Amino acid sequence: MQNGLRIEGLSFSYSGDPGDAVFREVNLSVEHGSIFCLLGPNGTGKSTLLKCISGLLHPGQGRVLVHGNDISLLRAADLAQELGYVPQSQVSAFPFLVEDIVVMGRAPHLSVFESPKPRDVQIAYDSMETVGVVSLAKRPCTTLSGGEWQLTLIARALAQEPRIMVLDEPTSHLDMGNQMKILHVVQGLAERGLAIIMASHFPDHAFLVASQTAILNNGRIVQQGLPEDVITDNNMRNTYGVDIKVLYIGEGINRKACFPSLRNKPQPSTD
Amino acid sequence: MQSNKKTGIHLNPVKLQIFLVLLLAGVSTAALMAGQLRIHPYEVIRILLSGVFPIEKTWSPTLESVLFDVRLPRLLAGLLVGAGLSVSGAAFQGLFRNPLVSPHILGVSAGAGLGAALAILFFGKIFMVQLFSFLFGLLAVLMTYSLSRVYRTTPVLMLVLSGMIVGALFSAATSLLKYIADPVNQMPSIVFWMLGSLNNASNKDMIIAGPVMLAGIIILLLIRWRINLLAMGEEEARSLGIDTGRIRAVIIVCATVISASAVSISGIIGWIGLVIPHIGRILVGPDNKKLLPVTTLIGAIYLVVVDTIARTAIESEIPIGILTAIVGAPIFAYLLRKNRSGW
Repeated sequence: MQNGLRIEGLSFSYSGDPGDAVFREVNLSVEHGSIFCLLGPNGTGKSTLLKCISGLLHPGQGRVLVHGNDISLLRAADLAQELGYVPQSQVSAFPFLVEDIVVMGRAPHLSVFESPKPRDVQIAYDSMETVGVVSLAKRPCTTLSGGEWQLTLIARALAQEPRIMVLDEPTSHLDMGNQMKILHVVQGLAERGLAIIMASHFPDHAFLVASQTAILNNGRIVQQGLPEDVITDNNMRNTYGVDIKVLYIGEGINRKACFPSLRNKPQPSTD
Repeated sequence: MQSNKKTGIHLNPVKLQIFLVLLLAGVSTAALMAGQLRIHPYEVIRILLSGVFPIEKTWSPTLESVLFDVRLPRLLAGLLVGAGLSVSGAAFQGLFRNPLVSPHILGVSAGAGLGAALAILFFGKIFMVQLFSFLFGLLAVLMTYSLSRVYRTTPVLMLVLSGMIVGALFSAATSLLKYIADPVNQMPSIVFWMLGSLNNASNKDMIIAGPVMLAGIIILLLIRWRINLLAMGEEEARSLGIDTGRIRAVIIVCATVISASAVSISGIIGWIGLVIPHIGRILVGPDNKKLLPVTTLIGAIYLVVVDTIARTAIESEIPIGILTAIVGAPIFAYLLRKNRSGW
């Protein structure tokens, strides 16, 4: 089966000098209908990697294949029809209505002089329906909460009608209820057949929704595979620098979860 | 309840546009009537139509000359300058993601000011003043744009900073020229020119600058929905498949050609490009698809009204740059008080 998204030998550095690469030799692939969760400490280059995948930054080496096509050969608008990018939340300078923002997702399907047609507005409303923000359609975006804003951005990416979606830490700065709401929506999108790659601070989120996960640390993929195989006491300690216990919880939860401790116990190094 | 939190009025844009077009027609007729020589509106329309249809001339040639050679070009100049500065302002505010931006931010007026001062000093002919202000306006923006390209990471911020640098340079040069200018004749004409006036608008100006300005306005109106995407930020716009560099260049070229032409016809008229877009935003919200047409119409109406006041209120002419602020500031303050526009 053809992969939705495939990354081969990807390296990137801001200066162009391979010596100070943000990350190097990254290989991974995401199939349709599945979620790939990218873990790693702050500042390790998760966002940079996702921007390379979305065509916003140009990798020094390697290539990104979307349905078998090298994205460096695609027009930006063509790529945006295949791949939707959901940025980390930020504020808007103007109080655009939520429906105005979601309909922006139609841009790659419209020519320079075109404005959205009724059909585009319909697609925008369908996206809001899927994500569950139709009730916000007429609200100025400056009045949205963090969770509502994130859902709005997901709806906008969905209005692009992509088959791949890239989400950059969609649950950061959100309370637990909103985190689960977002993950539920993301899971729903995967069930509709989208190939999804997302970055997250929370290893638990990989256990919750991901079928594949990888740890990016010090510019390299440390390990990738099933969440159960990748998220281990050892890997977690090496990644986040504190002791973390990964335990299986029964009690109707029936999954593994991470339990960090406040201090490092003195322990032999496990390089 | 949160859902009632609305910013601005969000009027029906179609109805509002029809109303504004009718208002514009009324205001334009009034502008053609008013002046030292008062012309009856019926007569105004008949004289205008006689330009196209064979109508028996029952009026004096003076009347016809006043209308065709003085008031009509001045009206057209007012319409185009008002519409052009307003629509450029709205486009720039979206492009720079900042509602405090005016069309002059890239240094076009500082450049035009220097050009005009040079021409007044060395040639003294009105045609040369217009030509020089236009060319120096373009030159200043070109310098700003080139300077901003030195750093490639944050193009919008670099444009603003480069605009400040170039603007400061050109303003200093203008001040130097004022300092060495002859204080009896040249100095006052430099100052008066800087205050702005439509007094010099002629049919020739309209034939040369009119089509250029109109083209700029139409292009900005055509790409207006894309300005929404730019207003979300460089990276988000690119992730939606927009070639941000190209569309930014198109907006800058259009707005620069419009404002350089406007400045060369009418001198520096501030305030309009900054405030009219805000008034539009209060009426129809921030969506540029609705905002730009409304802003264009309001800008045209506003400048025609203010110019008519400027030339009829007292014996001599009041510089329009002064009036736009005196008339506009209270209106704007009132609207701000009534509606949180929430930008």
